[in-house]
Amino acid sequence: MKKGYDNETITAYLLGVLPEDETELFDEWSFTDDEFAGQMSAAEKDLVDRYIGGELRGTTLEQFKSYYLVSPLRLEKVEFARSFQEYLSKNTVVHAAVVESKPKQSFTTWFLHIFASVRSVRQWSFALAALALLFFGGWLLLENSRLRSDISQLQTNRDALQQREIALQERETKLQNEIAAQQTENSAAETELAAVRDEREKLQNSRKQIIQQKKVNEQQQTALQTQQTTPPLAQNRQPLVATFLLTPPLRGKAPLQTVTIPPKTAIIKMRLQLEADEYPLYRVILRDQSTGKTIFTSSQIKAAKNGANKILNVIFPAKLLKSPLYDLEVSGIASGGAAEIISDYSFKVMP
Amino acid sequence: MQKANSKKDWNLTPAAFRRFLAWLDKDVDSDGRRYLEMRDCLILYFDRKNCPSPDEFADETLNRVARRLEEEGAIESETPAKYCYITAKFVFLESLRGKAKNTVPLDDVLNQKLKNEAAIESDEKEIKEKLLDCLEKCSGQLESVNREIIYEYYRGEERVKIENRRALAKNLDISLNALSIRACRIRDKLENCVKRCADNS
Repeated sequence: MKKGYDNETITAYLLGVLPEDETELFDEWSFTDDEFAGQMSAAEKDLVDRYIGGELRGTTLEQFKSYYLVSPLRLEKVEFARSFQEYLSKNTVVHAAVVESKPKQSFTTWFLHIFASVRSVRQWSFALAALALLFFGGWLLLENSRLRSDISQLQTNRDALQQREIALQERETKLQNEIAAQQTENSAAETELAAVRDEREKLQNSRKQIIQQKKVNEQQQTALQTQQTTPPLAQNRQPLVATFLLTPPLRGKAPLQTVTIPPKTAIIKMRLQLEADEYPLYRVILRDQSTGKTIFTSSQIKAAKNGANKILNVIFPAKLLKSPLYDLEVSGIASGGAAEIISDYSFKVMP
Repeated sequence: MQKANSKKDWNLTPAAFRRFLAWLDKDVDSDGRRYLEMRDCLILYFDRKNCPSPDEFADETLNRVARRLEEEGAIESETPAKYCYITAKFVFLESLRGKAKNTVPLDDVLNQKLKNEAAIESDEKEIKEKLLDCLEKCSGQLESVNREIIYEYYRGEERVKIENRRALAKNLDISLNALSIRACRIRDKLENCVKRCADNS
């Protein structure tokens, strides 16, 4: 026996009552350790034989019936074992009879032979002395053999105990190593989990932005279609979406850009032309110049291509524009999440 | 290396099977013996876990390992046996998840068990006779040494049996542990022979 298993634990494993961690270990050994597999197979046969012989009692018998006997494959094993026992009991009797009859026959022949050959009292005396010597010698041999057997048994027991101790030490070391490895794995898994969560969050943000952009595109498309499909009489109606292109603010004195919003416009789309596209994402804030209040903040958006230039598409409800002067403040957002104001587009709303 | 479109579409080709056998053998040709041993080992594993079709689970496991080997070209593992065990464990855990989705009412299980028991009782006599005939034949096919060992190993009861085994181990100059494994192998051989014989008769 080694690795800290014995017939008792193997039996518990076969009956499905071994703790989970030990069960897993035994499962693995059944593949990787031929000695264990052999030991388990022998223990299983012993268990089945004990069941057939009516030697199982109490909980073990219950477990055997409720767990072991539910598999057709194992029922076959029990069936075979039953027949095997029956077959052996018949054949072993014959076999034993043959084995035991041999020495009896030879001893009788030998004794009769001696009896027939001894014809005088002297010869009888010699014969009796020889017989006594023979018995004494036999007794000595038997005693010697018994003592040797005892010594051998003691040595076997001592070896077994030593092996068991070594096996337990090995198991302890192995378990300690496994615990250490598990702790390292856990730590690595936690770091990985954090990275995955972070990545997922970023992906969710990008997804939201794409959905938002898609909605805007759809709205624009709908607006466009409405314009295109409007019957001739309705063509004079004002569009729902009003789009304006704002160029980058110039240094020094420059005329204020103006936008004229047609009546009944629902949505304003500002196309802010960028001087340079240096950030992966941007955020735009619409501020009322007269009060200094922020009245709209965009989500994080990406710059889009517009010919050779890059632009930011900002969409907000037209009803927000109630004053004449506004600022659109653009911030660039770096990969690490830090934001920096990069530009300010001022415009005037014409009635 | 051929990459399968999907796991279910993958079929074990003769070339993939040969590669798999070589991997299991660790490049020492066992003439397919190692494959059969691994399959038996897997069947026993799934049976110990009370899986409904141990054969199918064993084949699914071997298929997965062969597919992985075909796709990756090599498998990093301590031993082929250990990798097969790990794969088997996954197959088993997946089956548990599947089982949870398709639970069978307890009554059905009990009824099936009763039916099985009834079927076993009705066929018992016939099966027993068949098995005894087969045991006679198969026992005759054993080598005489092995036949002697198995008779001696199972002779007697309780104390007598223990003494017999001790004496037998001493005669053969092996430990009691080694004797029990040897007797177990002979019995396995006999059991397999009887199984084949019973199936054919």
